[in-house]
Amino acid sequence: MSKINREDIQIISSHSNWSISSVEKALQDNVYNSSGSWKKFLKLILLVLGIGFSVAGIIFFFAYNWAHLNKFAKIGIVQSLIIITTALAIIPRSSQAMKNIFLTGASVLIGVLFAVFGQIYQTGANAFDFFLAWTICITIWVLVSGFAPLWLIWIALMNTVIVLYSQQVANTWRETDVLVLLTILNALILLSSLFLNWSKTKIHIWFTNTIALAVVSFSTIGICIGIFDKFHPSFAIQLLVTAILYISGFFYGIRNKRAFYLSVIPFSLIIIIATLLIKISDNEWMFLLASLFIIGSVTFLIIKLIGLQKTWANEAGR
Amino acid sequence: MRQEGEIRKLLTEIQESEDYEFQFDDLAIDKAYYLSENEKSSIGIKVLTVFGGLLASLFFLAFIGITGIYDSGIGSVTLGVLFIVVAIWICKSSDRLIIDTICISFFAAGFILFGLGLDRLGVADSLTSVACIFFALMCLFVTQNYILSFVSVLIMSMGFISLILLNNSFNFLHLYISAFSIIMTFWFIEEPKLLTSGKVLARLYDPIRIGLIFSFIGGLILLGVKGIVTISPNFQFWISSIVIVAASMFVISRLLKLLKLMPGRQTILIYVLSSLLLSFTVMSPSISGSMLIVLLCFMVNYKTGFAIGLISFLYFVSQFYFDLNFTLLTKSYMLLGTGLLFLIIYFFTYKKLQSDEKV
Repeated sequence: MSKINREDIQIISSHSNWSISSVEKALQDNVYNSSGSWKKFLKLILLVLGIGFSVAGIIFFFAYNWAHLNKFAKIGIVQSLIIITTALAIIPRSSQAMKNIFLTGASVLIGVLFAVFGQIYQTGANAFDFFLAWTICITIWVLVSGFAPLWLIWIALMNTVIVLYSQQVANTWRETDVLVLLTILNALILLSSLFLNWSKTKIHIWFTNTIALAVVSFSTIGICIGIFDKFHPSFAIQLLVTAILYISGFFYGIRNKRAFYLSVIPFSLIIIIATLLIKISDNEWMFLLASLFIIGSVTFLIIKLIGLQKTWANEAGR
Repeated sequence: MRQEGEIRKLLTEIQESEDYEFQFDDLAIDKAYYLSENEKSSIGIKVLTVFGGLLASLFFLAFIGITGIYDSGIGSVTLGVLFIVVAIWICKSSDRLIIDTICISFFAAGFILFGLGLDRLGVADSLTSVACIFFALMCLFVTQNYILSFVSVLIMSMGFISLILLNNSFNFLHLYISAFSIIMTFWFIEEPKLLTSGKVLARLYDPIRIGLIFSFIGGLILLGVKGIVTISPNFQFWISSIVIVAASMFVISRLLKLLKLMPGRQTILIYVLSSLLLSFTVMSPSISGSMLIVLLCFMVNYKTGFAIGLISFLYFVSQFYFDLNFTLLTKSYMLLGTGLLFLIIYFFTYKKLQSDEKV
C-alpha cells in the first residue's frame, strides 16, 4: 500500500466505514514507532540519563565540600573522571553519538574542576571568572565535536559570562546595555551557524531556531524596556542592530522558505508596536486600540503565512 | 500535499485490501483535503494564534478594567457570556484559520469576565469554578474547533485545580491525577477506536490530546513543586503514584504486544526493569507522570507531546533533587546511584539492542 500518514488516516476514517482493526493496522504500520526506533530511543535515553545523573551526582558531591576529603583527593577524583570520560569519547569503536555524549559529560566536569579548585584555594575569583575559564577551556571540544547540545551548553555559558560580568565587574552597565550585548553575541552565533549550513555543514534546524528565538527575545525585551526607559545610546544601538537583523532575517526566511523566521520576527514587531502604543497614552481607548491592533496584525500575519506555505507546497509539488 | 490522483489511489488500495464493502464519502474527503491543504496550520501558526489571542485579550481586559465595567457584577457576567457566545458563533460560521485569533481573544476575555463578574456578585468561589467547568465542557462539544477545544480542556482542568486549591482539599488531587492519567492513557491507546467513532470525536481528537497532556502536567506541578500541596503534612504522595504506575505498566504491556514480542525471558526482563524504575518514583508521582507522557507520545510517534514530556521530566527530576531535605552528600550518592543504575542497564542491554537493530 502507498505510504499513508496520520492526517490521511484521520480524514479517511472520519468520512468512511473503515473498520477499527484496519485503522489500527494502518497506524501501527505507518505512523507508530517501530521496534527499531524503540531500541534506538532506549539506547540513547539510557546513556543520556546515566551520564546526566552521574555528572549531577558528582556536582552535588563536590558542592558539599566534604571536609574529610583532602585537597589532593578532591582534585584527583575530578581529574581522573575527566580523563576517563575523555578517553571514552575517543574510543574508535563507539558510535559518534556516544562519543559526543561522553564529551558533553567531560565538558560539564571541567566546570566542576574549576569550582573545586576555587573551593580549595579560595582564589577569591568572581563567579564571572569561573564561568569564563570554564567556557574557554571547553571551546576546543565544542568546536571538534560539532555536537548541537554541547554547543548549546557553550552558548548558555557565554551568555552567563556576559550577565555575570555586568553584575560583578561592570556595575555601571544598564539593563539595556546587557541586552544589546546579548543580542549581538547570539546574532553572531546564529549568523555563523547559518553560514556553516550554507557551506554544506549540516546544522540542525532546531538548533538555529533556538538561537534565533534567543536573539528575537533579547531584542524584544531590550526595545520594550528602552521604550519606557530614559533615552540612552545603547537603545539606539539596539534599534539599529534589531532593524538590520529583522530585515535580513525576514529576507532569509522568504528566500529559504523558513516560516519560523517569518512568524517570530513579525510577532516581536507586534509586541514592540503594542508597547509603543501604551507608551504614547495609557488611557482606556489606547488599550482597546492595542488589543484590536494585535488581533488585526496577528490575523494578517497568519493569512500571509498560510499563503506562503501554500505557494511553497505548490512549488515543491511541481 | 496529496494530489487528487494519489487520494483516489489510496482509497482504491484500502478498498481492495478490506474484506468488507468499504464505503466512503468522496466529496467530504475531497473537501477535507482541500481544507487541510488551504488551511494547513503548522505548530508555529497554532502557537502564534494562542499567544496573539491571549495577548490581545489581556489588553482588552485592561481596557474593560479602566472603563469600570468590572465594578458591575451583572455587567461583567453578561459581557462575559456574550463574548463566549460571540467566539463560538464566529468559529461555527467559518472553518477558516484566520478567525482563530479573534475567537480565542473573545473566548479568553469572556471566561475571565464571567469569573470576575460572578466573584463581584458574591457567588462562592467554588461555585464559580464549577460554572466555568460546565461552561467549558459545553463549549468543547459545541465549537469543534481546534484551538477553542484545546482552550476549553485547559479551562476545565484549571476549574478542577482551583476547586481543589480553594477548598484546601488536597486529597482530591489524587483523584485529579488518577482521572487524568486514565483518560490520557485511554485517549492515546484507543486512537483507532476514537478516530472511527464519528466525525465529532475525530475532529476533537488532536486538541483534546494536547489539552489532556497540559492538564495532566498542571496537576503534576502541584505535586512536584514544594510548598503547594506539601503545606498539608499528611499528604500521601504514593496514592497518586498507584494509578500512574498501573497505567505505565499497562502501556508497557500494550507496547510489547504492538512490537510483537513473544512472552519469554526478554519480556520478563523488561517488566522487572520497568517495575524497578517505577518503584523508585513512588514518592514522586510527578516524575513517573512525566515518564508516562514520554512513553505514550513516543509509542504513537507524537513529537510535540514527546518534547513536552521530556522537558517536564527534566524539570520534575531537577525539582525533586532540589527540594530533598538531605545533605548535598546524600543527594550526590542518590544521583550517582541512579546514574550508575542507568549505565549498568545500558551496558547490559547494549548488545541486545545493537544486535536486534541490524535485523
